[in-house]
Amino acid sequence: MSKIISIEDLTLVLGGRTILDIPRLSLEEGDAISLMGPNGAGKSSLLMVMAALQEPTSGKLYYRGREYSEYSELSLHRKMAMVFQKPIVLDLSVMENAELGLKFRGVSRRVRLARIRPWLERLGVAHLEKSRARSLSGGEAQRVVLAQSLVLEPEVIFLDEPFSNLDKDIRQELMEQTGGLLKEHRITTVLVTHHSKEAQALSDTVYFMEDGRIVGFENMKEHCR
Amino acid sequence: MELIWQGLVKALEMLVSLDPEIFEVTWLTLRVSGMATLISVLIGVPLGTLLALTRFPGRNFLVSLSNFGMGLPPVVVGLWVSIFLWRSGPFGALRLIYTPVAIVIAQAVIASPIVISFTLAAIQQINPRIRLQLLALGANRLQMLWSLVKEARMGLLAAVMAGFGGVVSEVGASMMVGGNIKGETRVLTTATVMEVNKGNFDVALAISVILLLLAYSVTAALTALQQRRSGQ
Repeated sequence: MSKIISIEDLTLVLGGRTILDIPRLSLEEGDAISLMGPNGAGKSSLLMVMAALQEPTSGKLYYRGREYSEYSELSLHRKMAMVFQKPIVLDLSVMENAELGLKFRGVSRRVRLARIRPWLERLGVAHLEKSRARSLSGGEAQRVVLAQSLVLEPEVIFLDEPFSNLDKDIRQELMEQTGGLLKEHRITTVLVTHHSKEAQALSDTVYFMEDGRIVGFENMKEHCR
Repeated sequence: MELIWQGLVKALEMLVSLDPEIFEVTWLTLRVSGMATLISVLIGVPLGTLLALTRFPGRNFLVSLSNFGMGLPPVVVGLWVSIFLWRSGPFGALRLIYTPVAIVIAQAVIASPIVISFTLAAIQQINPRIRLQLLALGANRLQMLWSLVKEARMGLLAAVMAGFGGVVSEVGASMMVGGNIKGETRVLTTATVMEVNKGNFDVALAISVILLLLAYSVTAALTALQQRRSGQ
């Protein structure tokens, strides 16, 4: 396996406060890791930096061995996908939302529809295709956002507490479904979560963070043995 | 009350008989104010979007200038545009003064700050995380801007309505740069003032009713479009 993302001496300082201080972290292709820790530990910030949505203050990030700076931001964004804690949908129909990423990549409408429909079906929201995305429940909207990201077949997906706003039953169902899809497609995954069950279900390694630092890790495969 | 009744009857007569003069004045009003609104949208939407999404020294000054511009007295705009378009003015050689083009220019100056400020407010109201989401989905700069403009379309339609309402109802600028020339630059507002000056209050009232009907028709059509989109 080859390294897909590596971090060296990364810091992020905002408003004079050190948000991140990560000397070293790497992610192998196909890995699924979780970041756990208390609020303000820097989990989401680390996700944003790795997803090239936040510029670090110092340090180096590598994507497949080449520094992030060697890529355009756009090309990095188009290799990755991000699912935020609160599903962010535009004031469009479910289908129009789901097809946004493919549309940005210049994929024809016919191909877009053909690729999206199976994902909407697998995530159980195909019947809502024509509904306004803003009228959906939290769980439905999160499924649409997941379909929107997964249809892009990203090399890496970042999940920022994607199930935390959902009811317990829906959370369990969607977590199992997402875990299955990510494993099936072997998508490298970074998950931010507060729940050890989620971490166990979706990742191989859990990194524990505190005050912007990684303070430990646990291999879930060994843990399960 | 009798005067109002006479005015309403006169307005109905003019509309039913398709009075050629009033039809010409109404058509010119619609064309001039429509064109001015279109120009203000072409100027105002990109500038409003730019002001909403960027931070640079002097930005707040420009925003305050735009907000101030929403209340620009039309007669002041008319005077300044006249000075520029007079034969002795910097653009005198273009011979635009007392033409419909001059009215379009003055009205576009009046409507542009309105459209800029409404656009700015509409774009700023969008959840900032939507920008992040669009970036994460792989939108390039142009795709992101277009997506944000589409997301703000309800506010932008309000901008168009406010811009059109601002110019179709103004009289000072149209009078100063257009001159209220019959068959050339007479619009509904200048015709109303003229009829009042002549003491033809019933005709003035009739024209004002037609102006109100025109303004309402355009606004109602835009509102229908806005509400249809919001209710989809």
